[in-house]
Amino acid sequence: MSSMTRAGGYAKKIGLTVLFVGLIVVVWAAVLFLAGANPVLSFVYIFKGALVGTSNLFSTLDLMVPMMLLALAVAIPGWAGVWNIGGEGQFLLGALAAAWVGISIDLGNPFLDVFLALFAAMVAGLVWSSWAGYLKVKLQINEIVTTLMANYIATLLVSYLVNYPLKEAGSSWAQTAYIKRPFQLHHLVGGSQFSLTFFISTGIVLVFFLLEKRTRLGYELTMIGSNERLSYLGGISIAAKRMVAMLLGGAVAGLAGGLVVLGNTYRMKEGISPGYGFTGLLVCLLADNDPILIILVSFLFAVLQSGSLNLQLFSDIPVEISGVLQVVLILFVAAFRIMIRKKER
Amino acid sequence: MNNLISTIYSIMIRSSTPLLLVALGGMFTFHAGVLNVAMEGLLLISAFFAVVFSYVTGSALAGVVGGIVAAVILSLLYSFFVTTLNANNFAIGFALNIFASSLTLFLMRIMFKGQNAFNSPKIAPVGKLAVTTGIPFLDNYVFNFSILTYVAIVLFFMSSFLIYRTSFGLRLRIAGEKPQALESAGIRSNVIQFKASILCGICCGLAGAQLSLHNVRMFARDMSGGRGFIALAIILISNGRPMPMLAICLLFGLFDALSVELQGANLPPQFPLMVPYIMSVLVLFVFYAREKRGQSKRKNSISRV
Repeated sequence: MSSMTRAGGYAKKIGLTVLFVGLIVVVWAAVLFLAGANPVLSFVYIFKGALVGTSNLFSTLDLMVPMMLLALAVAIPGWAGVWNIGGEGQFLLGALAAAWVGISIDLGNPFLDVFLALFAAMVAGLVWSSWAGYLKVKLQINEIVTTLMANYIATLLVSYLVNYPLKEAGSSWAQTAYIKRPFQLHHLVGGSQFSLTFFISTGIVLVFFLLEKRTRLGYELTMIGSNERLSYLGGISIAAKRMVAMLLGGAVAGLAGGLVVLGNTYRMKEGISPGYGFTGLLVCLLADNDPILIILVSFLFAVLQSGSLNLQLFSDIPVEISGVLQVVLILFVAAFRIMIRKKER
Repeated sequence: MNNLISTIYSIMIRSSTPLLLVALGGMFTFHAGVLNVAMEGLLLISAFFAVVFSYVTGSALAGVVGGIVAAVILSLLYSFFVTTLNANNFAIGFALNIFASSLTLFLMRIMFKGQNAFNSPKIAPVGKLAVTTGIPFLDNYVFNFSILTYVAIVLFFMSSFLIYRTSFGLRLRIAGEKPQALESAGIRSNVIQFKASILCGICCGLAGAQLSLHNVRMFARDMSGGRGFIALAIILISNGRPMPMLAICLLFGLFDALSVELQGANLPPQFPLMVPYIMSVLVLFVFYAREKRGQSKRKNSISRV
C-alpha cells in the first residue's frame, strides 16, 4: 500500500470517527430529551460535575480504579476466548479478604500491612475464579453460566458474613469494623477519596499491556483467542493457558476489591459495589480487551457516572441515566465496528 | 405432612413456570444456532413493562401483552446485532442485559419515584384458574395455578410439535446445524433466526409477566435474579430436548420451593437463597461429568478394538 492511500485511509477513518462521535452525542441528547431534560444543560452538568474543580476531577479519577481493574478482569480471560462474568463476586470476596486482614492482623509496618491485605484480596479473587475456570477447561461447562452463578453465591455469602460473624459489634448496619490505621491509604486530594490506589491500578493495567504485547504468555493467550485450532497445532496447551488467564482475571478483580476497601471505605459493608463488575464488563466490551483503551474508556465512563450524580442534583434525572447512556454507546460502537470491518473486507 | 407436600408442590409449579417459559424461548434460538444470552434482560424488561401496563390500564391482559411487546422488541434488537450484523452474541447479550437492568431502574425512578421497588394495589395481577371440584387432589394439584402456568403447558406441547414435526422446525434445526444447506436450498437462515427470536421474545414476555404479575405483584430492581441464566443452564443440560427440559425445570422449581421453605426455618436467610444458584452449578457439574465419562469410555472401547 502506498503512503498516499494509507494517508487517505486514515483521513477517512478519522472522518468516520468524528461523524460517529457526533452521532453518539445526538443520540445521547435524544435520550436525555426523552427523559424530560434539557440536553445541552445536562451535558454541562455532567461535564462540570465530573471534571471542573479539583475535588470533582479527582473523585472521577478515583472512580476509575475499580472500573479499570474489573474491565481487565474480563479482558485477560477474554484474550484467550474465555468469558469471566464473575468479576463482581471476585471483587466482593477480595474486598472481604482485605477487610478481614485489616481488622485482625497488624505486622507493625504499614507497607507490609498494605501489601499483605492486597495479597489476600488477590488470592481470594483467584480462588473464587478457579472453580469456574476449572469446570470450563476440564468439562467444557459454559463459563458464562458458572461465573454468573458464582456472583450470586458470593454476594449472598458476603452478605451473610457482614450480617453475622464479621459484623461490627453494636452497629445497626451490615458492615465490619474499620480496618486498622496502618491499612488505611491516605486521601491525597482534599474533597475526594483519590489515593495511591489510582497509581497502583493504572500500573497494573500497564503491566498487563506489556504482558499482552511483549511476553510469550500474552502472545499465546491472544493466539488461543483468535485461532484456537492453529494454537493447538502450534503446541500451546490451551486448557492450562486458559486456566492461567482465568486465575489472573480473578486475582485482578480481587485486587480491585482490596483497593476499594483500603482506599475508600476502610471497611467491608453490604452494597460496597454498586455493580462495578458489570460496569467493568461494559468497559471491556467497549475497549475490545485492549488495556490502553480500558484506561481511556474507564475515564469516559467515570465521567458519565460522577457527572450524572451532579445531573441528579440539578435536575429530575436520576443518576441511573449513566447506565443507559453507556449501553447505548456500546451498541452503537458495536454496529460501527462491524461496519468498518465489512468495508475493509 | 400432606399440607407441607402440597405447599412445596404449589411453590414448585409457581416458580418453575417462568423457568419453563424462558427455557422454551431459549430452545427456539438454541436450535436455530444462537445461544441466547439476553434472556435475563428479556425477562427483566417484560416483568417491568407488564407491571407498567397492568398498573396504567388496570387490566392484567394488557400487562401481559405489554410485557410480551417489550421482550419481543429487545429480542429483535438482539437478533439484529447477532444475526444481521454478525456481532458476538455474548457481548451483545450482556450489553442488553445491563441495558435492561439500568433502563428498568431508570424508568422506575422517573415514572414511579420508586427507589428499588414499585408496588401498588392498582397493579392488576394475573389470576389463578379457579376451579373447585371438591376433590382435594384435583383442587390442590391440578387446578388453581396461575393461568400462565396452563399457557406454559400448552406452549410446551406446541413448541415440541413445532420443532420436531413441522417444516418450520426442520428448517430451524438445519439453520442451527448446517446453515449452508439451507442457503443452497434458497432459504435464508437469518430469516429463520429472526422468527426464532420473536418466539423467544414472546415466551420470555410471558415469563416476565408471571414473575411480576403473579409470583409477586410488584416490580423490584433486578428481580429476574439470574433466572435467564438458570434457564440457559437448563437448555445446555437438556441439549434443547423438550422432555428433559421440562423435568429439569421442575427440578429447579423444587429447589426454589426448598429455598422458600428453608427461609421459614431458623437460619440466616442468605443460605436458603443460595440454593438455586449452587444447585444449578451442581447439576451442570453432574451432567457434564457424566457425559465426559461416557465419552472417554466410548473412546477406550474403540481403542481396544
